[in-house]
Amino acid sequence: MGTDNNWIKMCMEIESRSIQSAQLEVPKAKTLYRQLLKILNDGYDAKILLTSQADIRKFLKLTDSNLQSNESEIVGGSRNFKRLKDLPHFERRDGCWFDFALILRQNNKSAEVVGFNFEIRFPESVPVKFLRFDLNLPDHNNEDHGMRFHIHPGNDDFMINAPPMSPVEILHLFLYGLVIPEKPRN
Amino acid sequence: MKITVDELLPRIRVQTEGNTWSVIIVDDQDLVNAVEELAASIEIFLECKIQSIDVSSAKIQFILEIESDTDYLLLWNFSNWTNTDWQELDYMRSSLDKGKRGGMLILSQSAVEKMSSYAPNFSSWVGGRIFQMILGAEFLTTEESQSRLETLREWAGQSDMEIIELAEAHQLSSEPEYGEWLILLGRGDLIGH
Repeated sequence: MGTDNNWIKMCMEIESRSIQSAQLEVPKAKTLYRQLLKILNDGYDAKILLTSQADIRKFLKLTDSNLQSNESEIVGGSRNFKRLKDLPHFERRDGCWFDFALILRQNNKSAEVVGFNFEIRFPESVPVKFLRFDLNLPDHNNEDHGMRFHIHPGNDDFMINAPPMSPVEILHLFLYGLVIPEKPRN
Repeated sequence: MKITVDELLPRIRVQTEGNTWSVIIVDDQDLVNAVEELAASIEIFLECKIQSIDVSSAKIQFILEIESDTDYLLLWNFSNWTNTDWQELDYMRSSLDKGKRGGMLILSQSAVEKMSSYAPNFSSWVGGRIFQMILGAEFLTTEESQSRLETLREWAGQSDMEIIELAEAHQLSSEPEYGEWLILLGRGDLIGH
């Protein structure tokens, strides 16, 4: 299976629409950090999240803004390429667990989210093992072929064009969406 | 009691109603930073209108500056308050009860001592809600950054130098993990380079 130029062109158009409508701008990295902290705390108060408030504070961090750099990162849990559950992560009461990392660039008046990974993993009983929402970094070589926003549907090698969801929206999805059905369809 | 901003926020949030006041102690050099940080964070956490008032010039007359739609007050810059100013605040403390959530005073250690001596009733009102602010606890520590870098090196099988060289040559993958790598190396400027 090769790539088709028309398909790549379509992907570029999809990406262009996505980038235009995505809400990736925030006043500052610290503002988004505190918004995410609030959402996670709300999730705990709503008895969705099992992770304690103390652990939420321990796992949600950002890089030091005093380092005279325009780029910063917000991390929620460890980098966990092997999907090991003993590494720091956020866990829902139904056994789903997730972590994330976001890259931001501060401009004159605001900060822009320029990249992220949000990955949620499901309990053993669910046929899909994970979902990952990625926003790849801006790349002037366009090596993503219009797939800067994409989802990995339970497989690191497959990518699907993703809707232009903001970090706040994806975190809400991870907390309040993706409900494990009591009676799976098959 | 020492407390970080992120520890303080859920505490304030549970004081949903009522005229509850806290005192936050900060070092003089951190005052402006702490006020900005607290105002922005409380506004997000409480989802309400915050008013931050520098009380150094109007002094007790700051009460006249309180906007009617303010839900939560941040009062700061008490360094030039005299004993009399504190006594006046003590006398007029009921004027601070706007039927909203209350607020906080952001003070230096010396101002707290003056408050305790010359505004005893206000101090009693605050009770145990006096906190020494710890700023910067939300930042990744050096150890945490190094641990994440080690994970990235193991995942990619590449060294820091290789990543920087690839980025400088416009050959680095656009996957977000590489952005983190560059930021942790202090080379975030190479992202999208």
